[in-house]
Amino acid sequence: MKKAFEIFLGILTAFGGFVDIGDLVANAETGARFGMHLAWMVVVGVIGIVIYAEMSGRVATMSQRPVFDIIRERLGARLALVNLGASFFINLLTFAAEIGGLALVVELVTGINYLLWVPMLAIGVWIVLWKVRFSVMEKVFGLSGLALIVTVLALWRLDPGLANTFSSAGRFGPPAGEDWPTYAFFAIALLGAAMTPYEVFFFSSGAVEDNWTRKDLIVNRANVYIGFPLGGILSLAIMGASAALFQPRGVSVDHLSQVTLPVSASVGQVGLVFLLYGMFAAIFSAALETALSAGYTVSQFFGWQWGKFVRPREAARFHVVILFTLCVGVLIALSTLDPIVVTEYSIVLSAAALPLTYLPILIVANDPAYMKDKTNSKALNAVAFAFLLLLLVVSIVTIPLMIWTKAGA
Amino acid sequence: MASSCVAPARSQAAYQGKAVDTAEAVVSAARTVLLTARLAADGRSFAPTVAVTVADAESDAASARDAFASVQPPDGASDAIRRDLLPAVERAVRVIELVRIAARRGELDRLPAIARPLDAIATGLDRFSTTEG
Repeated sequence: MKKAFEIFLGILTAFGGFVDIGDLVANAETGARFGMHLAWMVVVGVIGIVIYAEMSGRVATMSQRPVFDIIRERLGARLALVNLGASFFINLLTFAAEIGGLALVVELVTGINYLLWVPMLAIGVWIVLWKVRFSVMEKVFGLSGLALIVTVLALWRLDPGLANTFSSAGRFGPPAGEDWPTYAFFAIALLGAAMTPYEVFFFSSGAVEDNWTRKDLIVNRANVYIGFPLGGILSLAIMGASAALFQPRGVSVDHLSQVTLPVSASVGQVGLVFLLYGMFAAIFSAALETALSAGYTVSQFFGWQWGKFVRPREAARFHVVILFTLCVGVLIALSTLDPIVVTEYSIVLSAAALPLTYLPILIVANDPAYMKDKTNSKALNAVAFAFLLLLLVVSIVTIPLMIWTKAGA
Repeated sequence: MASSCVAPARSQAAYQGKAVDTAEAVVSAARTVLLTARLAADGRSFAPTVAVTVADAESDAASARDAFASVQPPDGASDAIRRDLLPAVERAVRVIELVRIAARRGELDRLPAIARPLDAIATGLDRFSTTEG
């Protein structure tokens, strides 16, 4: 009974914690501009993150070693250092996007400019990271993110029966007035929003933080196989609601404030309260996860003591890296760079960098020396290698497409 | 996604393209404000959220206007495009400014009336985009 409850709670946490600022922005922007013509890419992204996170969780559980430690062992110190540099930079950019996004949510509630909130929210993130237990932190914010279910209600009210949503989702290719390169660029943005590397660093390190053993592999599977696809439904609902309200009006989504309009229009003030609370919780959770991931990757690479399962004084360097990430992230957010633009670049660059961490994890997940009898099945490998090919193509074309389309402008 | 810097228009076609982009950006901002104003008056949103949404739309419309106004029209035909577009864009920005001022004062009931001219302006700009695009 206790195990079943743990699995149920884990699913809900994965569900509520799936969406972050990248998902909110990318799905709303895409819905307004392309309708549901790119909904298939959300499905592809969810399948990708399910495979990636399940393998990472299993690798961490079976080897009882953190992912970046294994990456360094498999790639060698020099190549792994390049990998670490790229991962850390993207993680930092993602943290800056999350803290900026969090400040934008508070601005929507208070009307006070977001720049004033950035330092205070960063201090709040740091206090939670310093004081709150890992399991409590993970569950409280993950479960609070469930308030975003209001977007599903909004979609249902804007498109009763979902006839238009399904009809639009069945169409492949850019709608009238859009071109293929821009369509492809937004597809990559959606993939990057769904498959963010920090989610995997957090998820796999969390397996070690939570002392997962072989018996907990079922929790790992339930979280990713059920929780993440349910989270993907939230992404699709944000896209669908945006498509239903904005596309017929020729409105493009460039601000987080516009993401609130479909819920206001269809559910009213109560719905808006749920949405703002859900956005705050989901983005706060992502800010915690990205800050922790920065500490995880660097500490695991250099072999330092890491994690929240030990007292801060025993993992001092881990906490220094987190503090450094918070400070640099705050500086980026305070630079007055539009947080939405930072988010857009962070998700696209995330997609481009995915093979760096995906490939070593895929190799280790097939190595009996680490995995014993829990290596990938043939069926999983077939899908996982297909994804590797997709990610390699994405990493090659992302920068040229970004230049060609002026970042989707 | 990210808006880009304004490159000079070396031909009438390039200038026309920038004009269409500007019109589309202002239509988007204007319709966002119209929608927000209606939701505010219907009690479906909160004053701070409304004010921020309108201010964001104002910033988009003003940026689009400034960017287009700074482009040198390359020939006489482009002058005509500029004459057609810029006054409507200016009007839209002015109306959105008024909506933002009222929203910041919490006068949510008045917003639809203040925003009403945006409807005709957006329709006109939409027509412009279709004709020139």
